Amino acid sequence: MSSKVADDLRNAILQYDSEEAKKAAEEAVRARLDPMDAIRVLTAAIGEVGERFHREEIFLPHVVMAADAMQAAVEIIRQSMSEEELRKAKLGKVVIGTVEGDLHDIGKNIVMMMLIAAGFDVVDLGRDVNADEFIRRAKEVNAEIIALSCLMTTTLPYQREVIEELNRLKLRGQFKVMVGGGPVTRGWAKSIGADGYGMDAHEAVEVAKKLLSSG
Amino acid sequence: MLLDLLEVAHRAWTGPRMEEKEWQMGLFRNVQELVKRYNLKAPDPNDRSQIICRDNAMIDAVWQAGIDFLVEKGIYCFDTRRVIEFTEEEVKETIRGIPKTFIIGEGKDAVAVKNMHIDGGEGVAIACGGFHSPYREDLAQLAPKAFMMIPGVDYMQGFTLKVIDGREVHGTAMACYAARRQVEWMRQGAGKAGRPGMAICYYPMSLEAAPMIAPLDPRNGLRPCDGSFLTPLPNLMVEAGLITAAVVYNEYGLSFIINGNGHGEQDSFAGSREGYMVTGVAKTIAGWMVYRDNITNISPNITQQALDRHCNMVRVHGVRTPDDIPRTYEIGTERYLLHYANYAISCAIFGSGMEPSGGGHLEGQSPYEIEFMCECAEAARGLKLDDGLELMRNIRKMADEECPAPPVSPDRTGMGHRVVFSGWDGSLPTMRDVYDLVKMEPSESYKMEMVKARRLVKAAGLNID
Repeated sequence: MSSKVADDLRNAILQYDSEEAKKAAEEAVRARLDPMDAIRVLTAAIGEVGERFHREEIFLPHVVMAADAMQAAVEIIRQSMSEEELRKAKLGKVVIGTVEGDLHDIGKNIVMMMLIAAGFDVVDLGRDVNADEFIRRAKEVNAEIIALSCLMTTTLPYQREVIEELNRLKLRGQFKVMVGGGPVTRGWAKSIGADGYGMDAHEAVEVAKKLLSSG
Repeated sequence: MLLDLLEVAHRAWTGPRMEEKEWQMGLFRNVQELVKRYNLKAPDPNDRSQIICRDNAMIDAVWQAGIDFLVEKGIYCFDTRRVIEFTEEEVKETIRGIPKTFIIGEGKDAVAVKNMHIDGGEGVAIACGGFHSPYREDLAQLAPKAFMMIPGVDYMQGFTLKVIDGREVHGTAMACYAARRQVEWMRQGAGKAGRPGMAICYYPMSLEAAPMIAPLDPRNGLRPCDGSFLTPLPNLMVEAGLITAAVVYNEYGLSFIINGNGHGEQDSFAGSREGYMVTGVAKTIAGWMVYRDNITNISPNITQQALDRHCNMVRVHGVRTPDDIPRTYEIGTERYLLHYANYAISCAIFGSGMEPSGGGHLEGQSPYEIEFMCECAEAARGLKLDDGLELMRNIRKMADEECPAPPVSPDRTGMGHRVVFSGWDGSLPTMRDVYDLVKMEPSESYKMEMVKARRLVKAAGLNID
């Protein structure tokens, strides 16, 4: 792959610049570069952004802008990819949100950004999301993982509600469910039958990867 | 004239529509532009010489940038997806309406609350006795009396419950019921403590309007002399349910409403430490304009200085310094007590309110350290700012030598302040391990830790006897 195009792709992400990212992606397509290589460059760059955030060197809007730039570039590169390449390029799709009754979304946002940075395709449902909406959207976008966040002790039961509803609808086997948030413990995750628990955003990413690799 | 809350509500349901992400990124851009416009520089939090900003022009610029934000952008109601806009005149007039003094509690237990000055001498603005953390039901009924008997405590905040009457607190109905019991138990506690008029502050069981309003009940619940929490969300966002509660509280005449104001610098869309100073001002003023919050929490020191110079807002939580002793999970230790000593001194010299928080940790504080905190705050009254800062430095230095922070267990490490461990799984010590609420006394081992903590604080220069 041309090092100039690779550098342009990488720099666009590191400078949080969607327009430059699009230009570099268009150039990569025009030059018939291997799209998988281009995706690898982008993934490495967004991973670097995630690390900078983890080291508290940058702030949340920078991660959002980097993720936007990444998505803009990926949209263009995807158009030149085969079905097989498309399948390989994605780690998996995650539907994420803060559960019903809970408006605290900082933790959820950080997890979401770290998942994007790791190469996941993430659909953010926002906060105060009820079980029906989690399931409807997960089905609609063909998600592999449903990630449930909460901060309040009194909203913990709504995490369980999503899993119970999946069971009732006989959809439990279709999705992996991971949980996290201030009052959430491994014990709670286990007691409600969640597949994974992330203590923080870093661990959440590792758990998500593990869940997908375990099928 | 104060902007009417009904007008705020009207705008929340009729203002310009906007998607949340557009608001957040717009906030980021606007705040960064304000940082440039006013050439704002954030003090280095690790530089002791910059704990307090001595540059009044910079402090005033931080204030003006926060006001400009509210005038240029307004605030965002996330569930109606509308922007609540303000004119400059409305912002200024409403700020002038922040009361200089207000009374909380009633009868002999009433307390006058006012903004204290940052340069030390006056002591703490107000002392909360604690809670602000999850409780199990049995303790929730026992604890209020013990905390409310502590001399120096002006009011109590509530707690959350996972289970009540043997049932999980799940759904609006149970949240309303639990909200009413929380407040009722605090009222009973105040009576048992011989301070029936002491003010109490409802701590939200849920953020829906119904459980926020449910405890209003002069006989067994919140009286007009009591308070509640209504906190704007990070990134200058408010919510329809809390606007609803604010309208009802205002009409009921609730004495005080606390702006929890908690959000991390890095996690917000302010985008820099300078930006966080700006949103700190804007969020505090927005809390007053939309919810009538007359007590405000956590902000950078310079933001607190800006509030102090330009309005009557009562601030909570003192200064942030490199000599703060972070609260550990190890309740019942000398270091745990010393955290409260330094916190009390910080609040006293900065004229802040004390609001010891369980921080989401299950039953994470006992009356013993709250009593010590109040005693230290009283002893620090009259200290000038620089003397107080030096005292805090001494205590921190001696604490690090005598009782260094325990190594953090690998299962409790996470991404800094963003990770909270509740201890619901029994992994953390709680008040039960170190304090007997029936006898109202600490364990023998905790008493020994107190002896050490008191000796250290005295050796560092604080006159407690």
